[in-house]
Order: sequence, then structure tokens, then C-alpha cells
Amino acid sequence: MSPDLPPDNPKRSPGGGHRLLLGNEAMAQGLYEAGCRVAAAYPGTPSTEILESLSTYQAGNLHLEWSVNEKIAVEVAAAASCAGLRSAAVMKQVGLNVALDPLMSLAYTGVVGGMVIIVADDPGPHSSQTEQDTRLLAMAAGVPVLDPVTPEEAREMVHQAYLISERYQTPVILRPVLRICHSRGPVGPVSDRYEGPGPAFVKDTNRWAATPRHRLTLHGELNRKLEKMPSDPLVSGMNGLWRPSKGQGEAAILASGTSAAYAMDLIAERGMDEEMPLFVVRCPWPLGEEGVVETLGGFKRILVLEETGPFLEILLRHRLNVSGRTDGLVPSEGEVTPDVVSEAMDAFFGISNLRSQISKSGEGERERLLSDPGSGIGNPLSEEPGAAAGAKPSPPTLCAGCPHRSSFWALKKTMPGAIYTGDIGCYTLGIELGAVDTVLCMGASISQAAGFYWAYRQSEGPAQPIAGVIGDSTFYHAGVPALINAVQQGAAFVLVIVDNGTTAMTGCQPTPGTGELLSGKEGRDVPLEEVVRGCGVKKLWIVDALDFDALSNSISTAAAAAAEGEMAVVISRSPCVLNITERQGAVPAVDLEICTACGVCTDRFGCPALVMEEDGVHIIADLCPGCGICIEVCPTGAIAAPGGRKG
Amino acid sequence: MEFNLVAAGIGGQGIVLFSEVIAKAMLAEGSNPSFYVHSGLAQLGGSVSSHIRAGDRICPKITHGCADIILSLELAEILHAVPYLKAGGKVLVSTYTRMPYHSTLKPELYPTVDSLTDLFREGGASPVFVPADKIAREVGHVQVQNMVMLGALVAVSNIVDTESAVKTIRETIESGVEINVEGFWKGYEFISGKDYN
Repeated sequence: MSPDLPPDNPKRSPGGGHRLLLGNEAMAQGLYEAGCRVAAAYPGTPSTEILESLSTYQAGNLHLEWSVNEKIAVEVAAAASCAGLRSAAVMKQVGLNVALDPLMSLAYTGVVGGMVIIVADDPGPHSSQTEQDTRLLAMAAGVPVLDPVTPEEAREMVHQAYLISERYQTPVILRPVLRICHSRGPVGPVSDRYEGPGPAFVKDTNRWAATPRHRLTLHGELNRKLEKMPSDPLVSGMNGLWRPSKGQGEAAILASGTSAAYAMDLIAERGMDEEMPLFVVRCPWPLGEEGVVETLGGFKRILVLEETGPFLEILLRHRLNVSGRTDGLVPSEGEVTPDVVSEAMDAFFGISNLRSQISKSGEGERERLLSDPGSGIGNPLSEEPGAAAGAKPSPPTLCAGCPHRSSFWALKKTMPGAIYTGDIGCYTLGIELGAVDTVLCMGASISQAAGFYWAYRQSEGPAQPIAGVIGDSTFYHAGVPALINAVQQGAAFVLVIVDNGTTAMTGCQPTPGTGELLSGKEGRDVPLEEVVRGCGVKKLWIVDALDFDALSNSISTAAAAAAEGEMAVVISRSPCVLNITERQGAVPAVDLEICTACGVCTDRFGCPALVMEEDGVHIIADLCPGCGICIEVCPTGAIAAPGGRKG
Repeated sequence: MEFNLVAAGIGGQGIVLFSEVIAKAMLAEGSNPSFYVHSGLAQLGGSVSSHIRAGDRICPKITHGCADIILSLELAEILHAVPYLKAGGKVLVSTYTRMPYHSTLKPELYPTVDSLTDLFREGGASPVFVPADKIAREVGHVQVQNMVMLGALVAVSNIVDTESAVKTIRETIESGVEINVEGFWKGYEFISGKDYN
């Protein structure tokens, strides 16, 4: 089990030629340089730009794909690694939940060519369902995980991850957090691409198709790898003191990821290198505890700063006297921002007068306006920015002209009182229109609608209408098995597939329905309606989402069919407004004589192009692409199309 | 040079491009810039903010009370940046307004130039207001507001010189270069009171 090792990290040309890159672009550069030959991903914030950026490199021997989901991405990449190529799978943290099945098994079988799984965590969470910590899943699977401190480091770690992966024949997870993915900074020039061996799959059923008996052997091999890794300088060399320190004393900091970066900045700002020794962990699992204890054992107390959960803190609490989340110094939820780190450090080191010291030095001063209770402006704003003036942050909303808004309005109008099961995508924002009651995870709109159906079937009362709403990309991702299940079980509800022909939420990546590939080349399309029919659906309507009457009629007919015990699907189709090249129609006109300022169009319909002023509703022409749905929405008929609607 | 800037706006206003031009110009001038754009669901009109810094710092995220300048491309969005302002720091606000649709219910809660001026004055800061959308429209397209504010920023701060800013705009923007450059100069002119021609 000792594959030929490639040379160390390729040498980079010194100085000059730095480009200002996004962390995600830096990782893409790392993948290119390290000779990744197959990379597969499903788009998801904050990971999406990695593959998009990788697709801009000119490499003949590189297959890239937007897979239908993360499980498939991991399986595709893993097979390439089994054939000896370097590969990568890329996803956001909740994507790893979908891909956990292959990952768990892959840890046992291992890989041959290096395999890096980049999983972007989203502490906050800023655009995710959960704040889950990927390091815990890496530990559960028995797969090493690396935690970069800066974007440039994330690029270096791609190389490091491949070396570890090939030395131990294991997939390696690289876990950047949002602040790594979306920060931009100078990154060195692109070095030569590593040319690894070509495909050569060596058959070995005891490994690649292992039965439970052989799985026991593989589990043993995995455990031996995990025992060896922490003492290997390739791994342990990643962890260590940030700056030399005397090695014992009262208190020290142990940090990983962006928390370590914040701590570095704050220590430097305060000029307190001596007082605040900092140990940085770049490989949190498997952790060489001995190395950490050797360095930090002399300290009486250790502050642990990390994202997202108390991972290192729990690993080390029996060896070191740790502080952090377990004793409430660091909040248990939410992002660890520089301000959180700053406060935790102050509290931990008991530096109560730090603020005034910094104030004297004239640097990094916390604003007087905010800290001085007498100054008026400060306190309300420090609690919640903007609260003082009553301005809410601009909330996300469906775009003006978004065909989803039309679908939700039609659904509300034709199926009032229904239970609306929602899903993941832009159209989650149907919440604002009161047309989304549940959002669980990718594809759950369909299975939850089925679950509600079976629950209410047991009720004696009048039939409960149920409507699910799912986007096209999410349907391909996880909706298909759910629909097959619903049909086969005999569930009956309305499913509206809002088909805008793209994965809009993450920046308009192509879906299987379009046939477009990540490379820009034309692939085979897998039409939505054929898939729906293939799932066994007999009642299907396909309708233009901006033809409001036709859409309403279809949903209405579908609701009647569902009431008769049929699974009824409506494909509400119209391209995403971010992709249209010509106007949907003319900007409607408002007759202010008729407008009663009732607020239905501005508040309940919520199109951002409509604003209420003193004399009634006005349409912001700059924002309005002319979908004309507000004409249908206005209860008084005050909104009309000047030149009639298009087409 | 140590420099910290927080810029706020809403999705679609070009905060990323704004930040990119400043940071690239800084890089060209030999400083060590980094920036972080918090975009979240910005594509859908949500709030966007950008932290831009130059100097020896390792990460671009700025701590509260450390920004030399806070700036917004939309009137109310400046409120998000307030906690980052340091004492004696500068405030630059576009008077362009886009009411969040919730505010259409209670428009009295949306700030005005006067209410913002009072708010900052109480804390000892005096904001500079720039009619960026009006200037942008005069130049020819409302979309160049970001460049107008960039011009205004360079005029109040000299964080990069005008030459490298314009050069970077030309290198970075793919279409409508002249109108963007024009927007930059009009914003610069609005603050400096000088005619660049």
C-alpha cells in the first residue's frame, strides 16, 4: 500500500504576477496546478465558484461536470480516483449530507489517485439550512480534514491534500468556511500543472466490491491509517505555533480556520505576541494530540477558537484545560466574527482596559459612538445596525418579473387554505407571498406533501388540499425518487414544478433540462416532462408561467384531479429573468384616480418594482421587465398594460 | 499603508465591481489589499456589504469601530456600516433610495438625509451625501452609480490615485468603459469641486 509519491508541492515562481482572487478561485487554481483530472460538483453557496473558475483553465485532460447531486459527484470523482487519476468533488456543507453514503464507504475502500472533497461550511448560516460542522462528519467517516486559515492557504492545501490522499490512499476533505471562499486577496501566479499517471484500474474485488467479511479487514486498515497519520510530518507539520513562544505560562490560544486568522490580526494589532501565544491547527482530524499537548501542556488555560462547533475543544478537553464554547466564552451558534474573537480574547485574558489602551494608540478603536452610552447614536445601532432609524435590512425577495411570483400568486388564488410544502431555491422566498409553509431539505416538498396526504387521509373532516412547489434543478437533484414514491404509494396532491430552466439561486448553472454543460458544450437534454411522465404521473399540465389565466386554470384543474385521488403535476415554465434577453412586455401604467393604495400589490404580491407613495402605487420602470402579473393582482383594476401584453 | 473601508449597498448595484476596482488599483500601487463581499441572497435584491482593507492584516473582515471610511450606494444601507466606523472616520452616502418592500407599509421608518445627518451629528460625524443616481443618469446610465461613488471616495480619501483608478476601471470593465470612466470623474468632481476637463 505505498503508491509512487509525486514530488513535493510544485515550486512556484517567486514574487510578482499576483492576481486578486476569490478564495474559491484560489482553490480552483490549486486543483488545476495539482493535476486534478476529474472534478464533479453540485452548485451551492459558498462553494459554487470553485468549479466555475476551474472551467476557465485550458486543460485537455480535465473532465468537469455539474452532477445532478452531491452523492453522484462524489461517486463519479471516486471512480476516477480508483482508476488512478487525481479527482475532486465539490459541494456546500449540506451537500455532504447527500453524499454521506458514498463517503462512509469510500473511507473503507480508499482511493488510488488523490481525491480531494472540498466541502464549504456556512457558519452563520448565511445561505443554508444548518450550521453543521463538516469536521464532525469527516471524523465520523474516518477521513482526514484540513481547515485553511486564508484563501492562499486553501490553494496550498489542495496540493497538501493530494499528497496526504495518495500517501494514505484515502479521500481528504478540505473544509473552507464562507469567509475563505468569498474573500479576495493576492494569489501567486499559476504554476505548472502536475502530470500524474493515466487511468489504470486494478481489479480487486476484496477492496472495490468488498463483502462484509472483507469490510472488516478494510475497517482495520482504515483505523491503522488514522493511527499513523497524526505523527507523519506531512500531517503534523501543518499544526504549530504561529510565532515562537516560551512554551509555558498562564494562558494560550488554540485556533483553526478563519478564527485563527482573526486571532492573528488581533494579536498583531495589540502587539501582544508574548502575552497571547497562538497554536494553529490546520489538520483538525486526525489530530496529533501528543504534539498539541507537548506544546500547550505547560499552559494553565487554553482558549479554543474554531468554527463551527466545539470540535477541537471536545477532542482536547481531557488533555488540556480548555475554554470556549463549553464554558460559554464563545457563543454556541452563529458565526465567529472578528468581534466575537476579540471579545472572547479580552474576557479570557482578563484585559479589561484593553479598549482604552488601544484608544490611546489611536488604532483599532471601537467607535466612541457605539461604546459610549451617552452619545445617543451608538447604543441602538450597536444592538442591531439600522434599528435606530427603523430601517430593516433590505430583505431578499424574488426579482421583479420573476415567473415564480406568478406561480405562487396563482397557487394562492386557486388553492386557498392548502398546505404548501416548499423546497430549496429562490422560490423558498414564496414564504413572502404566504405560499410556502414548509422547507426541510432538497426534494422534501414532494415527500412532505405525500406525508401530509397520508396524515390527513386519517381525518374525518373535509379533504385537506395539499400543494408542493419545487424548482427544476431541485427536482432533478432529489425530487425524482420522491415523486416515484408518491405515485407508487397512491398519494394525491398538486405538485407545481416551477421551471425557469436554470439553477438560479447559485448563479444560473445549467440543469439537465437544458442539455448545456459546464464546459459550455452542448450535451444531451433530459426534458422535465419526460422525467415526470417516466415517474408514472398520468395528470400533467405544461403552462407558461406568465400566462396567468392559463396557469390558474391548470392549477385549478389539477386541484380537482388531486381531489379525485390523482397525482397531479403542473409544470409552470418561463425563463429566469436573469437569463432573458428581451423584455417580457411593456411597463404597465397605474391609474392613480382608481388606485386606493390598498397595498395588495406592494405588500402581498411584493414585487420590488412596485412602490407605495402618498398618491398611490408607482412602478419603477428601471426595475420592471414587464411581466404584467400585477395587472391581474390589482383588486381595483388600477394597473393596466399601456400597449397590451407581449405575445 | 493601513486602510479599512466598509461599503454597503443592495444586490445589483455593483458592490463587487466597486470593490474589485479599488483592490486591483491598490495591488497595482504595491499595497497588499484584500476584500470580502458579503453577498448572501444579494442576487435577489438583499443587502450587500464589502470590507476592503490594505496593510499587513491577514483577513479582510474588519472589526467594529475600525473603518477609516464607511460608504453606501443606497441611503438606508449606510446604517449597516455604522458599527464599523471609527471615531473621526469619514462617511459617504449615496442619496439613491430603494425602499425595501416592507417599508412600503411604514414609509415613515425609512431614513431621510436629514434624519441621517442628525443621527451622525449626535455621534460627532458629518456624512457627505452624493446624488449618485442623478449623476449617473446625467452621464448616461443609472448602473454607473458605483463608479460615481468610487470617484467620490477617491476624492475624499486619496486611497489610490486617480490615474491608477481610471486605468483599473479600463482594465476591469468589459463593456461601457467610457461611461464608467465618465461616472468616476463626475463623482470625483462632485467632491473636489474641480472640473477634470
